[in-house]
Amino acid sequence: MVRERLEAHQSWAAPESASARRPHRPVPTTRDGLDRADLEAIIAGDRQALARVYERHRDAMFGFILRTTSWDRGLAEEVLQDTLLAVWQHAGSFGGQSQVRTWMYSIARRKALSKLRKRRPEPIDPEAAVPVIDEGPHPDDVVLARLDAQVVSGLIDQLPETMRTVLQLAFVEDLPYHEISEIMDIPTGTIKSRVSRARAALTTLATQAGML
Amino acid sequence: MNAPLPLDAATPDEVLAAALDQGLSPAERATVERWLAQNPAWQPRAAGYAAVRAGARTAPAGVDIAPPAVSALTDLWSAIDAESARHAEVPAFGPTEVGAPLPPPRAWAATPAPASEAPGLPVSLTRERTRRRGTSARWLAAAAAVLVVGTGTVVAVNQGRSDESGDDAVAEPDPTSPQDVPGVTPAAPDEASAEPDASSQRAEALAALRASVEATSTQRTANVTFRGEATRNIAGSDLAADIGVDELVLEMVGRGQVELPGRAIINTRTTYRAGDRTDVIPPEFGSVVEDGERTWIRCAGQADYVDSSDEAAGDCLAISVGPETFGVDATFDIIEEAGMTSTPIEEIGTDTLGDGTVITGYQTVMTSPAPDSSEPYPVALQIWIDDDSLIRRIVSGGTYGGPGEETTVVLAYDLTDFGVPVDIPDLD
Repeated sequence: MVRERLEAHQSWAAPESASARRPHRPVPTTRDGLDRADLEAIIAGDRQALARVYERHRDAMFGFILRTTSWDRGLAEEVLQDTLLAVWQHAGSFGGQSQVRTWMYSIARRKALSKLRKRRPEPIDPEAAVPVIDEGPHPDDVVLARLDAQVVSGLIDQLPETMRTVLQLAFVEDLPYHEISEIMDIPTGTIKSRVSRARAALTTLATQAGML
Repeated sequence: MNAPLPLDAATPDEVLAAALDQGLSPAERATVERWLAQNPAWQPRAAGYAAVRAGARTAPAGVDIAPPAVSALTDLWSAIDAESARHAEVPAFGPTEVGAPLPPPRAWAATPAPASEAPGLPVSLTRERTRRRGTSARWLAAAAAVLVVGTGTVVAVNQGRSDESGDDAVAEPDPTSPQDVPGVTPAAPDEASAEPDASSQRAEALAALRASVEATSTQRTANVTFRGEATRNIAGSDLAADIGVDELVLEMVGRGQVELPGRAIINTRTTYRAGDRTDVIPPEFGSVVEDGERTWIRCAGQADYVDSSDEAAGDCLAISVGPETFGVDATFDIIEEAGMTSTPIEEIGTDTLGDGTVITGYQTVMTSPAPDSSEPYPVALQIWIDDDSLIRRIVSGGTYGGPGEETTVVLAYDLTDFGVPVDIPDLD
């Protein structure tokens, strides 16, 4: 241990080693590369690194949390801060197999659901009531296309959380399905079918509300 | 249904949805658009997905969607402040006052002022003292007691060692004894064995051992201060020529708690020095737990313990005080390897701990394997015990390595407040 420290020290002391503590590490250029570098700094206790990570993701992250918490801004801010605190505390446990943002979204979702469960428990199987979609074209397909985006947004808020989250991650955050799969811990195939079912459910909700 | 989509999807529906986000490549998306042009019955469905996408991107009227500024995350920063403060609150004991900063790196000297400096060894062994009869037995008993508590193999280990020696383990000179240690005047080989009644001394040692085991076993926890210094003499090396410095110094000062066997938590500050350049790493907080098979380490910022052999374990100083290298365990591993008695054991004086406990120091030199598997090197070892034969201080030091990388390491631990409640995070 002492020897290892000394070896690190020797690197530190070398004149060409202004960056000798990370001699072989390339300068990150991608967003995930920057995130990973900042996670290492967070582990070392660098608060500015946490702030940088937040700045990089705050719009998307907060939008996601807002939708998940049904636009309750106060609750969303609580979830946001809980999420960032978890990033601070658990940066060392980030496995590196996924992107940092994927890991952060999964934390945010868990934090949001935890808060929501305390306020209003959701049904155990909220999707059970959602009908299996008709795989072929249907006359009601035109319904959603005729609605104002604000109205569709309101309908989305009536969907079960699992569907809202899939729509948010796929259509707002533009995350690839495999990443959504990691965040929600469900198979990619389920993500695909959930998007389809969400659209079908929205059509049903609009029809039931007389929005034809 | 019309012609199937030439894409790998269970239904056209899924493909239409995927075409709106990142689910398809640009080429695949173009394929879908061509397919839609040829299959107009699906166009309302595609439009429906587009509407869902637009809806998902629209917030209700009146909702402020702007994320809070970094500075507005007051709960977050307060929580981090509180966490940092909690980690910094390592119980103060010994000579360090509550709330006071850690002692300066150079103030680690745990031993009484040496009578003279022994070149090449950080711990002086040249003090002229009269060795008291019975000293060895008491020293051995205390040393063995801690070893026993640390390993859970009580008397058998020491009994076995004594049996293997075929004679008094204390009195038998070690064949690997460094006869040419600078500053050390080896005792005559038959000095210890010249004791008038070796067998009675051995019996005395074993009796004291058993008493110490019982006493120490009930004192499983303690506060600990940790001080270490490693100095590498790089004179003559390419590195020295490059940076104009002949010496690199690593200093570590910390304090924390231990729970025997195999658990510790420590807050340690590290200082690197090379000539005028100094870099102080703020106190690093870490804990270490040995479960009997593996050593688990949790450094600051880590949520869970990580196997110490895993790269993800990091490099916090929990490693330094953990069972693998912490004095209570590792120092006695060295004793075992050296056969306990490289040189005669000398009493070197008394000192008083911060809690007022008077301790008596004993010293010997042994041969230890070098970290780089080069030639074994002499290690000076001091064991300081209290009137209850409990170990209170362990100091070890030695020099290894050849020209250009000769390294001198000194490690010192003070154990105080036996039985103190400890707060060492459990393994999940």
